[in-house]
Amino acid sequence: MSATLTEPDAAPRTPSSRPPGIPGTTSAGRRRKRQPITPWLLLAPSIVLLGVMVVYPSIVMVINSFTNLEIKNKMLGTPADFVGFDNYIEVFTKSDFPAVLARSLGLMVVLTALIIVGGMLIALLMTKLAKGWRLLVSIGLLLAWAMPPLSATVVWGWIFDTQYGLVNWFLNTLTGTNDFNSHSWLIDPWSFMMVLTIIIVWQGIPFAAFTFYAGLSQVPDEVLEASQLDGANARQRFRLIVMPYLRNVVTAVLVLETIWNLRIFTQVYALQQQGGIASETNVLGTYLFRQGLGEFGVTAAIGVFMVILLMGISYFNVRNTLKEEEL
Amino acid sequence: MRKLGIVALGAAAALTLAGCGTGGGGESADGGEITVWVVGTDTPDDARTYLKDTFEAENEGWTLTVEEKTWADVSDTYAAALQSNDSPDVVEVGNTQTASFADQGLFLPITDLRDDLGGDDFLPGLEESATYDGELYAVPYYAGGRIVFYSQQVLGDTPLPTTLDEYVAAGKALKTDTRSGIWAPGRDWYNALPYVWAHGGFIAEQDGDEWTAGFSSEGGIEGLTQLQDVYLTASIAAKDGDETDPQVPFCAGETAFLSAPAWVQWSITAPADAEAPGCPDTFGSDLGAFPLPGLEAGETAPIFAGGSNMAVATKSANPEQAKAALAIITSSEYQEIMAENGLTPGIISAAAALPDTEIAKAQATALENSKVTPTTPKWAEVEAAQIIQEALVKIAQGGDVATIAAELDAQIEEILNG
Repeated sequence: MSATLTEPDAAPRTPSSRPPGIPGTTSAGRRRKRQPITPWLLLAPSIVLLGVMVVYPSIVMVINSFTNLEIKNKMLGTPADFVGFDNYIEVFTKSDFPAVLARSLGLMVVLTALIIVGGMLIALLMTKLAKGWRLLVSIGLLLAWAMPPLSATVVWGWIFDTQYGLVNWFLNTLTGTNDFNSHSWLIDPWSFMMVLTIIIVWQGIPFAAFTFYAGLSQVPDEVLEASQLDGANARQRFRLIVMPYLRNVVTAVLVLETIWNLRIFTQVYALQQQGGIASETNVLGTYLFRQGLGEFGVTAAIGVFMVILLMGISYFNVRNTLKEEEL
Repeated sequence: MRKLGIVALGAAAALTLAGCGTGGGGESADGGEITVWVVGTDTPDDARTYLKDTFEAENEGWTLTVEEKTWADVSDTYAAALQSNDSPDVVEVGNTQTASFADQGLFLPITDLRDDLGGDDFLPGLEESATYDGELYAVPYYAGGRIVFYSQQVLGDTPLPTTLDEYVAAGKALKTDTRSGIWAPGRDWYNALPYVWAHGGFIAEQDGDEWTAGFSSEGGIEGLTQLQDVYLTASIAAKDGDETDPQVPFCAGETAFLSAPAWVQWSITAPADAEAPGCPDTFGSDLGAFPLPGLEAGETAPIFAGGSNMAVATKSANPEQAKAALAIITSSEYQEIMAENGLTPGIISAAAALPDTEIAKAQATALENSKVTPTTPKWAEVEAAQIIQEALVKIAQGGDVATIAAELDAQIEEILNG
């Protein structure tokens, strides 16, 4: 049972443009008998890297979450005390934690939905464009994608600046009034979230669009033509022909975007530096970061909670698609 | 195929091990490198060059690098760097944060060096902030007070205010749609404290082991109410803005009064084509300053005594050389360079080198009546949590002062007594 679960589970994590429905001729049984060493050697670099970069820190994080470790312990060489579930109790009973969690989950849903829908629309647009225009759109997308999130956030922050921002100037000019003089876009948590959503979606769409575009190019024209002859309209063709071909790609992007959007940090943190009220705009990542200096126990507990949350969400997503595929 | 696997394994091992090879440069006795972190642009270039040249002349084979950090780094970035094996050797740290870093064991105690460094000449306020549990953990670097800058071109016929009420009234009268009377961004808490202090409020006072916060005391409420008046009717600064780059609105003629650290004069008078341009030909040409007035004529309002200390990192690979650098920093020559640039030096005897200008005099007068934040290692946690800034932002938006002050006090007490 466990073998059948883990094997297909691992497969769709990387975006794959391979159309579904070609069941890999499972030679797993035969391979298992021989126990060859080469695959393991080929896997070794990734396993070593993952062990060093992911497994070891994760184990340390879980251990830390049950202690009251401080910087002091490290500097003075004294061991930290195990405090059981105290850190977890402290986090979950904090008055502001539910709001932070709700904010993070809400943002995750909104951002992921906007990025997937926007990315798909742009990918579809790109299939219809002439070569020159497609190149232009690709370059535009690449530039947004290639920009470091920190720089992007700072620039967007300036655009929405209270005193000297482009948006306020533009709105003033457009309305012919001075209503937007010193209008702060970040001070109201909802307005802050709107600016944040613009920044993240703007930078998130290129990845989704490119991946979907790659997937769309794998949809065989003959099938589409055939369905068109059979009288399927554009919407039906998209829903009944294109989407099934794209399901693997969409799942991969969905899982990745879900994870990325739940653990956003840079954009929120940088935007909070430019204005707004941090305690009313924190997401899980920045909330963790803004705990007391060197309070490793509590922060590790929040980290463990985030890991469990993310694993739960991704597992559900992956399982769901796999089930559909098997039907 | 098998060979390929072995190559891959080797590559991975090399990648992994390469990470361990860097850092910890120069540990031999007869040469190496030490790193000094200064914060912000306050430390003048002359001083940086003097430190580097003198150190390298006195310690043959050694080089000294001055790296500039920002005040935003002096919390998590510092904590992470100071506990690593690649720690800087000497670091500048804010006076209100020194005790907290010392408490975490990140600074080397230097009590035994105090006499060699000329400890009796140390600025008392700063030395107190660098002393924790009876041990000296840092040397005074420089202090700075906030003063009120103005330009006659904007001020016009308005006479300089002699009381805090007159100052606020003048600020309100000078405010237009595009100009502040008093530049008051909401998150600038250093400039908010004088209002609280002038009316008899306080941040937090210790009684036995209990801390009591005083923003919601009678004086605290009075001060914050006056401050709210400033935010709402005398300032067009962002309600959630901070105090960085105050020369920008001043040089744009967007404020009549600008309360800012004295060294901001150099930002204002910087060449117009500098990387951070000032306005030496326009509003900076007749720059004047006065200490923030108090409630009664002839008094000054208590201001926040800002300042920095310099400490040796516990994890410094070369503590002897780091201490040698510290000796240069506390030397009269070095401190006089600081004084010449308008920074109140960390040693008293160097104060004679302060320039004889209206601005320097204003700062000296203002610093005579100055206060600091509560001296407890937990104070850094209050600053890191930004609760004071956030309460002020809410006040700047027109929130109910009494409610906000009471909430703020509860948060401060929770941290200090926690």
